[in-house]
Amino acid sequence: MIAAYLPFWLFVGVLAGIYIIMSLGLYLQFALTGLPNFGHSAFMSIAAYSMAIAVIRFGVSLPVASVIGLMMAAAFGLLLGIPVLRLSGDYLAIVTIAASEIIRYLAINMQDLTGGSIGSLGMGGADDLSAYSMEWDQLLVQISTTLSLEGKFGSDRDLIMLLIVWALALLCLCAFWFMTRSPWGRLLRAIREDEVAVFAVGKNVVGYKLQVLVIGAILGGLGGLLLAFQIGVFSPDDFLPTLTFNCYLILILGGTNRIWTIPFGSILFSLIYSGTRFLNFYPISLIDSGDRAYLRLFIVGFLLIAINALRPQGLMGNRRELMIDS
Amino acid sequence: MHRSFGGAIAVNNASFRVERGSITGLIGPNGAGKTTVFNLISGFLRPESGSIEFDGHQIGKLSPNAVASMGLVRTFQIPKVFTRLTVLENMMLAAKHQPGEVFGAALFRPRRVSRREGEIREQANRLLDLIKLNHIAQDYAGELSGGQRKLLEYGRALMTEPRMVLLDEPMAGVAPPLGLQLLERILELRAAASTTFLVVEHNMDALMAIADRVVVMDEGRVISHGTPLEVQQDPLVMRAYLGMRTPPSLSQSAGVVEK
Amino acid sequence: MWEQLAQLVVNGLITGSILSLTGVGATLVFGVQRVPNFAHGDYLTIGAYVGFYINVILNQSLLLAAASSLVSVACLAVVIHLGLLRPLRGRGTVAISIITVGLGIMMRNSISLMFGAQNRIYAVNQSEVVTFGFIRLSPGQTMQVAVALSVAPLVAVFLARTRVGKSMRAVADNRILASISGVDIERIGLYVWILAGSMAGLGGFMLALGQGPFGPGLGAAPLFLIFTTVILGGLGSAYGALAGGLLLGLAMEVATWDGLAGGIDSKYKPAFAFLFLILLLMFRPRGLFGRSVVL
Repeated sequence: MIAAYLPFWLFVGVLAGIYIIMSLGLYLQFALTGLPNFGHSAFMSIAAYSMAIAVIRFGVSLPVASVIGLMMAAAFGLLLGIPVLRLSGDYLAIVTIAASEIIRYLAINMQDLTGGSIGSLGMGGADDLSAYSMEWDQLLVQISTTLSLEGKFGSDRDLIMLLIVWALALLCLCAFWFMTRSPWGRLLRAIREDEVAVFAVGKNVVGYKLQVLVIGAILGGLGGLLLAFQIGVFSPDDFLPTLTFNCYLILILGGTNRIWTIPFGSILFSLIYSGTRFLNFYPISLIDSGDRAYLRLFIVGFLLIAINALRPQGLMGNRRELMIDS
Repeated sequence: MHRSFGGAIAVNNASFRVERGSITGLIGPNGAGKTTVFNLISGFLRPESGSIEFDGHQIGKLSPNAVASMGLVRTFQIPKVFTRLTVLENMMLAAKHQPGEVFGAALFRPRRVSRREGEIREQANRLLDLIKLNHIAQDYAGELSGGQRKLLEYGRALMTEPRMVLLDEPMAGVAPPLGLQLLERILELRAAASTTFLVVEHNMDALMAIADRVVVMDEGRVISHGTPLEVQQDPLVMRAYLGMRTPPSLSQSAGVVEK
Repeated sequence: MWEQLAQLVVNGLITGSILSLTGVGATLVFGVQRVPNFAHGDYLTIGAYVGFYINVILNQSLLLAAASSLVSVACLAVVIHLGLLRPLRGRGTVAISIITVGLGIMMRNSISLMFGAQNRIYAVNQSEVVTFGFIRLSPGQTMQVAVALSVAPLVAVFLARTRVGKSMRAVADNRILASISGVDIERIGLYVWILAGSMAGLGGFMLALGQGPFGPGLGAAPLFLIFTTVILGGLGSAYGALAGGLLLGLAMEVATWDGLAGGIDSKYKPAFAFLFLILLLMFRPRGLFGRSVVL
């Protein structure tokens, strides 16, 4: 079964890797620093759209366009953070989700710029059909020939994609693992616990929160770029708030206290999410495959509740560290 | 300083000085405005009018972290510790000049960061020894008792090598042995480093024993100031406390109560 | 131009009244239960679909549909409160937020599974136009006005005059004080969910009525407008939500008026609402009527 469905599992693997990077950004903001960012998908979509617009409308090369994408995500993080970080947590959650919906709304409505609801396909017309993904595919082909793989493991493209994504993901995880164990990480954790006390010992709380928001934005943006490369063409519907909450589910699955539970949660999530395809037994077989998407989302929603309710420390956390606050 | 909330005046043009190197008490019945004064001085609230001067600098408009980095730190009535950090981490966090707090420093300057961390760890352990919390250095702060948290908060304040410390009811809810320790630490520090202390306290015995001067507030105003003895005999002060739970030492040490 | 303004004001008041009514529920739920209910929009959607079922599939009157929307979502809200949210109350607002998000996802996708994703519409002829002087409304909008005009004053009076209403506001304002004054917090909490649920259900019905064709995503879109209303009025302030909703509705519509240097394009109304919110929060971080926190 594995071999027959190899392209599918490769796809799942790529998705898991991309989710690692996205969730890492959210981990830094929410799990480490205590900022409930419910609008993470905004950073992903801004990066993806900026990159595509740069390539298709302005003829910029892919590497430069990618950097532009990341910078735009960072800029949005800054723009959003400055007025909003002063607000308390509840307000922050609401405003960030509002922000991401606004971005999606703008993407749908500013057709000239973004291709409207059709997305990247609609940007350049039939000839320029998602030009950025052609460049990316060429890059993948180059890597493939250098490594002389030539179809040994099924789809070359997906395999290279998997290697790239996971290399990046592991790099980020390692780098940030070091960072979280440093005084920087300690400071952020303290902000999560009691930011008033952190003010009182002379640390620039606002500055650090902003920093984390921007860094998380860049990671989210990186995930968004990789997602755009992976699926080739994208539209506003690829960046629904559900993306943000998938990341939350991943963090919760793993237990929000350690960075290394993120890959665990991410793989588990991708399996659950994609694996519903294979649930061909009664009563699920009653639902036709088009509607399976709803079932999948339903399960995500259910798990968000169930895990939070029954095992709030996640599947790998320990209760001692949880110390639920009032 | 003057500060109100909605229609209620919390601090009503209150004014006083604190001498460098002194231990000054700030007392008054509940609701007198003492905590508001602390919040104003430490930058958590902005005075509506008036000015606050610290060591020659105007600090009334500064953010709380700016005030703290000038050497003026405070503690809180209900201690604010970082519950999910260990006691040692709580202490180490507060140290000044940490190159490791810069993003990326852990990756690109590991040696410099670990060297400074070593120094900070030594300093923290020394202080923990001093305040007798060293045996629980690896426990989570959330597991500490109220009195231990107060000590920890005090130790954390000391990590910043402050020039002046605002203590908000350091003895409240603390078992007498721990409280006594705290007092001894205060006296030691003042002797060793000329650290200035402004202490809000309801435990009159304790306060009068260590304070050089006392400032008395009632209903947002300063109604009296002087040495502990002078203040205890001031009829204005006694009148302010009458009708409320009169601290035993006041009624005991008062000579003649004037009408 | 002035006729356009009058029209926009009426539209704004209609939108505003939906936001007010649903906002009151959301803000009280937050103030009393400390639950930021991210599923609130989906409560609206369920109300709309129940109404649709009664009106179109069972072929009943709109009045019955409205009543069913109201009652069904009120019941659902109570069930969710008693079964899920109350037992998990101690988890902290962020955990609860995520739980309500999960609820919303489940609700939305259940509706998609049951009714399919295609657009549905009430049995109202949307192409007619009803004229009141120089104001032109569709039949759906006329009914929205009718509902708003009958329900909103009732809610306002309920909050201002009745003992339960006053207790709700008291608890949202200062829980400890209210409980010391003898208010049964648990019972008020239940009533708040009943109110919030009913208003959400009714709001969904009204929304679908005026919108015409609608799908499972009906409530998700105005969710953030509802939240904007709540924040505008100050989290926990019922009067704030009432005022804020109307203000927001008006602001969004009037912003498109030609008289304001051409006005903004109507498709940017939500973006404008968001900008409005951000600007407001910068100058009044607690909203119009919110309380400031003393350290």
